[in-house]
Amino acid sequence: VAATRVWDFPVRLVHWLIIPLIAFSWWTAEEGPGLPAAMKASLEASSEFGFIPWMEWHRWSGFAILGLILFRILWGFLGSETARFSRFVRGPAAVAAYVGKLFSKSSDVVVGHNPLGGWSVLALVLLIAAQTALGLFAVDVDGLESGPLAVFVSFDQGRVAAALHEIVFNLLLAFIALHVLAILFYAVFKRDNLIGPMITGKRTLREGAAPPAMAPIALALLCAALAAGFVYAVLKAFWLH
Amino acid sequence: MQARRIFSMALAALTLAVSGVAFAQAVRTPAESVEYRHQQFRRIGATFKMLNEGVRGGSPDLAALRTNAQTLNQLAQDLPNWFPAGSGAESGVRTRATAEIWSNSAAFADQAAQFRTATQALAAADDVRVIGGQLRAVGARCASCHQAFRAQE
Repeated sequence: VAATRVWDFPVRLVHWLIIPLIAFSWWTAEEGPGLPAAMKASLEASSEFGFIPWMEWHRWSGFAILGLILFRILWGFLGSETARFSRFVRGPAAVAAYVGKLFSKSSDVVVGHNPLGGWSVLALVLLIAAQTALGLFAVDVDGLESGPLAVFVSFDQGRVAAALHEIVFNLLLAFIALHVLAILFYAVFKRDNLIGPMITGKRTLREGAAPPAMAPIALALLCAALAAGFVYAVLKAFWLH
Repeated sequence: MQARRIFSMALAALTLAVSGVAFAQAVRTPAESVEYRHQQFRRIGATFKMLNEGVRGGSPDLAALRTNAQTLNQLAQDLPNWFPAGSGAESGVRTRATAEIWSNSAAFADQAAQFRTATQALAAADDVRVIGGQLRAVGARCASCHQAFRAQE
């Protein structure tokens, strides 16, 4: 049986780009844990006033994530069948039915997100969107660093945004952990490799299963241009000189 | 604008008057000293935020920038008075001020002096570009002192 395309290229690209960006955002927010002393010293030497611009890097990482998540939300309405919220966010009956056979080893291959995983994906998308939105308004403890939209809030409100930015990050970490554990569960308990299809886009479906409809790449480019254009417009208006 | 300037100067004078070392040491409990210190640093943060935004905006308001620069400078001049002996973490009050502020007071005084010098230059500037540049120098003084004398969260 030939493998069928289940994840389109934009879905996979967003998925695999957002992981290193989230890691980089965490790392810059923590001011480079694990960075070798020699590298740190040379970065400091080449930085203005001897301070590594962690927050500058953090902001750019956040802007990139913002663009990706905006694209993913657009794609959730206009994209390929398996990318659409309307397709993978299911009601309680479907979720309950799926949970009922979750621990059976011989369950069917689901095309796209399963009814339970769909909610996990929605949670991840919403948390990432909330996290980037909060970052836009956040102000650091010293008033030295802030997101590009912090100009619309007071110092104290910006500090609240920063506190929420930290709380939502921890929530996001919890959902990422759940996501990874679920994939491990499928790999080990159900002998179902979910990582391969997220890389290649392809999966072997049961005989007669209908292949999901894929959206044209031109539409993806249009959505990407809209998302990038929006981020650029915000930066142009409130941040870049 | 004139009334605002007079008001902000009066406010600064009042701040100076009530935050003298003797007063702080004689009257305030450690908890009150820490609370007051945090409140003053929040004022620095809020002022710095306004300055940052002021130099970033498309049509900078030089008068507002200068007022904020002067406020920041007044706060900086007063800063050594916010650290009365006994207002460190050893008092049991939650504070990130490290013990070295008092055990290595010469180094702390030097940091505070460098901060004052930087904010004086900021307050003296009357050009948006110069203010923007000097703001970065002031920020570097903040970061330098925090690295030396503020505990990690």
